[in-house]
Amino acid sequence: MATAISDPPHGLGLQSQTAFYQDRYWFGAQTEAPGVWRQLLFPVALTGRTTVVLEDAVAVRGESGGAGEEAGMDQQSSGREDYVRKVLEVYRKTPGTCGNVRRPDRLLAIQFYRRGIPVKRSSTPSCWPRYAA
Amino acid sequence: MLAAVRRMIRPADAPPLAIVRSLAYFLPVIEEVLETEVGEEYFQYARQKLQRLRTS
Repeated sequence: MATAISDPPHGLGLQSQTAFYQDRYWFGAQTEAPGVWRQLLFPVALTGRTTVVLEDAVAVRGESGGAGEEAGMDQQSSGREDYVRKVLEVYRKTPGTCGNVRRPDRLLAIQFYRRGIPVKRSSTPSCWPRYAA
Repeated sequence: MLAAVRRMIRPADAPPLAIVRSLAYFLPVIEEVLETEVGEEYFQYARQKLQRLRTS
């Protein structure tokens, strides 16, 4: 059952954006509860001027905010940068990779963050053999 | 880690793998881990396997 984006589920705000990823468009939104951040990603279809939610959210990420929305934004931005840096560092050090990070890699890491994929799961153990090119 | 271990543990006569040039290469295995809820014990096993590979 499709839902018009002008009537978003769960009382979501519309201050987020739509992005193309993995062969489909995604609409990211956040709850407006003070001090609590929740990011949801909805697969959507863009038809002319209308954006339609195709399914329920596929990813939810909750995070403590600060005293208000602005503090939450700062924390979220800082948390995202830390997360992306860690993911790219793990990727760069993984045996078999070229050791270079490019813009698409950074964008994908941001998508991982938005999906709430824990960086711990992709962490590189200290026992990595050194990669011989 | 899982993807890297799989790349390393291959038959000796298997053709060499190309260098990974994109983070997207690991996307399928990340999805796999997320869907199957791989336990910490398995990652522990994989780490030990890597250590053995390193010392051998």
